[in-house]
Amino acid sequence: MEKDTGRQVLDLVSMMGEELLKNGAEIARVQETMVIAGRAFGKSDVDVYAVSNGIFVTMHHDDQTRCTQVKYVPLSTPDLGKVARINQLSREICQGRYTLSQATDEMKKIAEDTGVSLGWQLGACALGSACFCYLFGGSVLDSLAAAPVGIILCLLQYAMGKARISKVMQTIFGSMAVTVGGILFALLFAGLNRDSITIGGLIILVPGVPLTTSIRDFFNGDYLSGTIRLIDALLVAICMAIGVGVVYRVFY
Amino acid sequence: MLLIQFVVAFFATAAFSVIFNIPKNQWFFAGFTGGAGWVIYWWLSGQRGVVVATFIAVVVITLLSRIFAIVRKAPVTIFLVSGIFPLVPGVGIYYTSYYLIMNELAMAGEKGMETLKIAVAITLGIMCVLLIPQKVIAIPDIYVQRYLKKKKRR
Repeated sequence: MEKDTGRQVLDLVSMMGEELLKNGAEIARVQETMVIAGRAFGKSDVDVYAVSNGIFVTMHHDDQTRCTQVKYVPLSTPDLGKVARINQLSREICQGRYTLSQATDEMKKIAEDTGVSLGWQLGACALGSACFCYLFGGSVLDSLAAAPVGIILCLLQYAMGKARISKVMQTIFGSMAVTVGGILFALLFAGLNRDSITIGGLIILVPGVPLTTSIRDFFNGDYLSGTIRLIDALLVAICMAIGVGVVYRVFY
Repeated sequence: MLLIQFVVAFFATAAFSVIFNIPKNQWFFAGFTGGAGWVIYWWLSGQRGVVVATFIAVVVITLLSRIFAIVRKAPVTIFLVSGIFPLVPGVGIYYTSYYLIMNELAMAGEKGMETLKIAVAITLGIMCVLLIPQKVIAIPDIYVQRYLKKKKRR
């Protein structure tokens, strides 16, 4: 029995770490959560080393052995809701509200959550594009045009995600689609501002999460992870620029 | 005018908190952070230039996020990411690549430099507020808790 608990704790802890890391939590939070959750289940010597795309955990198993787990966590689309839920879970684990198997079940439930439904996402993209278009100097009519552009981008991203197209190409195609949308709207309806519509749509692609997380990692002294995420953010920005550039090259 | 800007920025930020799958009960606070930050940016950018405006707005956003994180018992990231979204220089990226393609290199350089400066301003703003110890940030929460206790007693 004792042996099994050790393994279960390790599984739970590394799963929590993996989900946190995947969904855009900063390194310090990942390490702290894992150590604290381990301690709550009686493993006071959990050692964690995490970088942006991998986790190494070691802990005491029984008197003679220690167990270790290495996990590779590829960079992926962040889901801050999961970060919040795991945060809540670890808080409740510390208060002793969960047994080990209950916590594991709850954690599995969080990990399997597929996130926002497509309908909500479409609505949010439309609203977001329209609002940002207005904020960045568009008129109300421009904003109305930006909403469908945002929806098209959202659908495109969804389709490309299903087709497992790489993130680089997703961003390039996405920003191309938005720019084409902006140009078309400006051509079809005189008086619409091409730039505002395009910016409204592009804002969905902006790498806000990696940028913020990168800054926080740097602040906590996790320079390696900060650099990895900064490069991620920069790459997305460059891809956006390429997408816009290609379309303008073709049109003008 | 200020109010319209606030409301639009509020909805813009709230929309993004939906995309990031932030829990429903935090949407309002994420939106508020974004709205407040944007209004400050919008108001100051005319007088002080975009870079200073960005810096001050980011300081306010980060402060608000840290306070909300304690009061609402959620990770800081949730509020910070959505709040900062309006200020991330998506516009700068767009204009830089646009001018670069149009072969207006002077304008491209200028826009590129400005984008970089804004990114640095965001970084510095976040850093400045993260330097404040957790205990200081928790002060407003103490008052909130006290207020709630009083309310309960009644």
